[in-house]
Amino acid sequence: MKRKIFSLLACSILSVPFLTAQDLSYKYVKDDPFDIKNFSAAIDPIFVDINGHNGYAFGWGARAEHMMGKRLLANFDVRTGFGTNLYRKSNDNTRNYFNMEGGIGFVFVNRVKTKNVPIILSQSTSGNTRTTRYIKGGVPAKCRLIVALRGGFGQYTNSLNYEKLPDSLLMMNDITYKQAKNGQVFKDTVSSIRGDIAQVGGIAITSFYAGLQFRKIRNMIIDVDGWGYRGNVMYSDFYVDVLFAPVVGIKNFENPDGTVYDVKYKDVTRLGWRLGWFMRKPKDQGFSLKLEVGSRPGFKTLKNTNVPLNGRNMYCMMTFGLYIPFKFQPMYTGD
Amino acid sequence: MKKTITSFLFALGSLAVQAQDVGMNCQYFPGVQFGFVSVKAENNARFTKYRYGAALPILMIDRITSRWYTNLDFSALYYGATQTNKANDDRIKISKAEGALAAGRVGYMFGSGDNFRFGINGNLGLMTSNVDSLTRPLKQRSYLNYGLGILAYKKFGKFRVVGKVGYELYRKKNFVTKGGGMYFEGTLAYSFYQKYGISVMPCLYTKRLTYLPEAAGGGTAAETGAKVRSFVIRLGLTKFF
Repeated sequence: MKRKIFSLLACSILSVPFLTAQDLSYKYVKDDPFDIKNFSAAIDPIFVDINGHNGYAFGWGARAEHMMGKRLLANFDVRTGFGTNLYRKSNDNTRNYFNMEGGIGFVFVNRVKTKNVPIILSQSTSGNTRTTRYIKGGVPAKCRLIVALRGGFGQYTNSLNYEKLPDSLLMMNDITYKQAKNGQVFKDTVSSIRGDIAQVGGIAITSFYAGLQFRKIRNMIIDVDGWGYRGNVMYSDFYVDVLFAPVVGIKNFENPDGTVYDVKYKDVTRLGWRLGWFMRKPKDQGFSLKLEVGSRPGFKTLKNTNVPLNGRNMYCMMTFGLYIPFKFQPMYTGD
Repeated sequence: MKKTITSFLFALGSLAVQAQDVGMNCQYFPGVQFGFVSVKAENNARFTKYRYGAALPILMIDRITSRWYTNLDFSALYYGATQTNKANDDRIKISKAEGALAAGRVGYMFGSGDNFRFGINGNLGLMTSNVDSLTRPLKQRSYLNYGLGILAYKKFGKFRVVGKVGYELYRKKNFVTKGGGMYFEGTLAYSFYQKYGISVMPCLYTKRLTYLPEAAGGGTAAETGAKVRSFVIRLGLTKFF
């Protein structure tokens, strides 16, 4: 035992000359989370939505968000698909991907706390090893936290792949999808080339949402001796919403022979949820990312499963674009 | 007294003036372009010559800083993506995908001061040209491009001007057996609000390709040649440094 302790002490003493103490000095160039532009408009040239309704859709969109004074937030988001899986304009049964929503938030926490935040001095990668030099313990920065209770309204349409739905719950007039598949519903008996027609329809969901939004703003830049300007600058939002859909409509299906089938799903759920995150810079124009995952209202979870999620409602959406920030009154600049 | 007030106001005003750095970021993300593309084939069974209006949407970033020039271009890929619904429904008469699927340039700028830079750049990427008269943009075949170019940057008050010239080689096994082309690009950018503005980029591309055309029943036909020429004017937002 003595030998072990002696070895440990000896190793510690011998390693002292190889230790390098961090001796850095810096001065603040800026540390003001209220020095921001409170409005931003973004054009998203591309979004991708992977979902259970039709597999995937991609397209373009536009977003705007506004922080009005101390107590109000507003947001707007619209997306339309230019690459919607299974959608054909020539097929009236299908619908293009479209999502539009807008809402407001009531800010009930709008405070600043000084916290130590990480500052990266340099980062390099060699092979599989990444070396990061940072200021040990971080640097005190003013961190602004905004928490809001938010709510709004959304409209969504998309194509719907019948084949992915339980064939006993999807009804076409008074028969099940299982019976319809074996009958004449999906047969084209009119065209000269007679054959099966796509078992695809359309879905529309009108929903209200309510939830919490957390916004973090840091706007700190320091001048580190020997390293130059380094900073910790962020403007990011995280939100959790519950969705309630008074309307979950599946489009009527029309066969080329003119027969119209009223399509319904037996077990509809009006509730959904989502988590989202988006980011931009507090003042500068740049590129902005928004990521959202959730479960849309629609098809109730099957009774024979233990997992309380229905994959047909699930989606993951990412959108990326160019934003321009502005200062619009009213603005809150701190007390 | 007047002189004192004027001097004082001038001194006060100078505090608000911020020095601008060299360069700009032309963000055609998204952006638009107008122009035409012409394709002349020497020995293609499907066609001999056709011409079409250039694809409207582009996706490109062209950035010049004090020392570095970088360009990322996904314009043909983005155009193809935007036409997916139409293409799936056979509503496109001719695919307008021309240029970069995923291509880039990196260059180093020489010079000092705020007003002028001169640089050289290397180019590498994947490009596409509709030399098979296809209607589905994302079904087009791609070829490798690599080359060199030179560029110059000049600032005139609120205007900034860039000129670029380069030569590229094109290759792809079982597609482009031999190919080369030149490009001429100019940029005129104007700062109208703080660090932001717009830029206009007239571009001329000339390509000569020796390639194996797509045969009607699949596979490839006998080797042929094609001249692809395009002239486009691009418009987009620009951030000034």
